[in-house]
Amino acid sequence: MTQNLIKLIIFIGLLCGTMQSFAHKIVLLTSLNPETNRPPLRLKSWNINKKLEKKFNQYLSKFNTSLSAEVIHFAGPTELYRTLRDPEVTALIWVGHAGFGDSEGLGQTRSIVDHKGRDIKSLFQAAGPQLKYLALVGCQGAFFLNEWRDKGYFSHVPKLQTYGREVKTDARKGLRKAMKRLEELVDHDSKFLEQETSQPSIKSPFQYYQKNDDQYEIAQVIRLNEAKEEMEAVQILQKDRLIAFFPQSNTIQAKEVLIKRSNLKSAKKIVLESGFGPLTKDINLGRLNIEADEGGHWDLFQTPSGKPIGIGKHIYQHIGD
Amino acid sequence: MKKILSTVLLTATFILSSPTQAIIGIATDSEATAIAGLALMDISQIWVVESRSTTRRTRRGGFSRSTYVTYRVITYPAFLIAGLVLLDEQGRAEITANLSNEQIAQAKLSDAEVAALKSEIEEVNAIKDMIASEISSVENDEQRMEKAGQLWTSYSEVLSEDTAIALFKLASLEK
Repeated sequence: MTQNLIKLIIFIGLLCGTMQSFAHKIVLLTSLNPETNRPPLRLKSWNINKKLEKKFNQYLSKFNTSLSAEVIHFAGPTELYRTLRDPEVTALIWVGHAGFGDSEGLGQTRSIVDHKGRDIKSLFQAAGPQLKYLALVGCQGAFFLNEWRDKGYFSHVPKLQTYGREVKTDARKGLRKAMKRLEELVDHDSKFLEQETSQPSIKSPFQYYQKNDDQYEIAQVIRLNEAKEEMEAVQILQKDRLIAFFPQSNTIQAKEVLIKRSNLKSAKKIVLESGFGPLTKDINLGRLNIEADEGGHWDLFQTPSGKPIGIGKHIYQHIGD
Repeated sequence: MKKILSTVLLTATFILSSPTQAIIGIATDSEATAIAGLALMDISQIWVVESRSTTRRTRRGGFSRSTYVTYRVITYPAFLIAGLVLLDEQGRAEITANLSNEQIAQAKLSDAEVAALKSEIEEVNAIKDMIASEISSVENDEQRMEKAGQLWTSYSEVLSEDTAIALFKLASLEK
C-alpha cells in the first residue's frame, strides 16, 4: 500500500516535471501612467491599463491553443528583466512610450521609457533563450528591433520572432496588431510557443557565473557595494551592450556579479545606468567595485574635487598600471 | 466610411461628455473626415459652438437672462480627439559620435579628434546630463545659455583636449 502511494507520488512528480518543461506563458507588460495617458475629457475612471488588459484577454480567447497568461502593469526594469529571463515565458509584449530619432547634427534621441521615465531599452538584450516572441508596442519600436538584430544582440535567440511598428503607435491599436501577429505565428505552427526539450547551445554573451562554477576562472567580479538605503535597479553597460543587471533593492546587502573576463578586456569602460534622465534628483546608484586582477584599477569618472559626473548614471574607467 | 463614422462618433462622444464646456456640435463632416485622415498627424482644427448665458440687472430693479452662442475654432492634437493614446516619446537627447564623412569634413576634424570623441562619448553625455541638471533652475533663456557655456568650459577639463576641441568644432557647425 505504502509502496503504491510512493509510486503514485513519484508519477505525479514526474508528470508535473514534464509539464513544467513544456510550460509556456505569454506575458503582457504595460508601463503607462493612467493619469498622463488619458485622452482629454475622459472620466477619471478611464484607465489605459484596464483597457489594455481587457483587450489582451479578448485577443487571447481567440487563440486556438490554450495559453497561460499574465499581465503586469507599471512594469519597470526589474519586472522586465525577470520576465525576459523567466524560463516559462515564451512570448512577451511590452507596451510603453518609445522614440527613435536621428538629427542631422550632433544629437540623437532614442529611448524606450517605463512609467517612471526610466530608459530601459538596453534591458531587452537580456532576452533569454526560451523567448520565441517579443513585441515592442511603442512608437517606432521596429527601428529598435532592427538595430538590435543588426548589432547581433539577439544572435543567441535565433528563433525569436519580433513585432514592432515604424510609425507612431496608439497603445490599443499596437497591442491588437502585436496579438494578431502572434496569432498568425501560432496558426502557422501550433507548437510555436512551446518550449523545446533542449535549449539552443548558443550561449548568451549576457551570462553570469557562480563562484563554484567551472568557468569561474574566465569570469571577473563586479561588486555593487552595500546600499545604505533603497537602491535603484541598474544596468551595467559596455558601450551600449548590456553585460549585467542589478534589480532594485531595499535591503542592505552587497550585490555581486561575475561576468566574462573577455568582456572587460575589450573596452576599458563600464557604465552603471539607472535609466533616469538628467532632471531626476536623488538617485542612489551605490558604488561599483570591480576586481581587476589583470592589473590596473577601475576609477569612477569624477571632477578633480571628487564629485561623480553623471545624473542617473556613473562611468567607471580602467586605469592601467 | 466606417472609419469616418467611428471617428465622428468618438469625437461627438467626448465633446458631449465634457462637463466643463457646453459644446453642442462640430461644424462639418468634412472636418471630421480630415480628422480621420489626420489621425496620426500632429494638428487638426475643429469648429465648436458654445452656448453661454448671462444674467444682468434691469433698470426696473429686476433681472434678465440672455443666452447667446459663440463660434470659435479650437485646436487639438488629432490623436487626442480620436481618443488615442500615442506611445511617442520625445526621447533623451544624446550626443552621438556617429558622424558622417561630410560632417567630419565640414567641421575639419582630425582623425585623432574623431577617435577621441568616439572613445569618450559616454563621458561627454555624462557631462551633458550634469549641465542639463544644473541649468534647469535658471529661468532666463539667455542666462541659461550663458551658464551652460561656462559649465562646458569647466567640465571639459576632465576630457581629453582632442575631445574638447572636436566638440567645440562640431558645436560651431551647429550654429
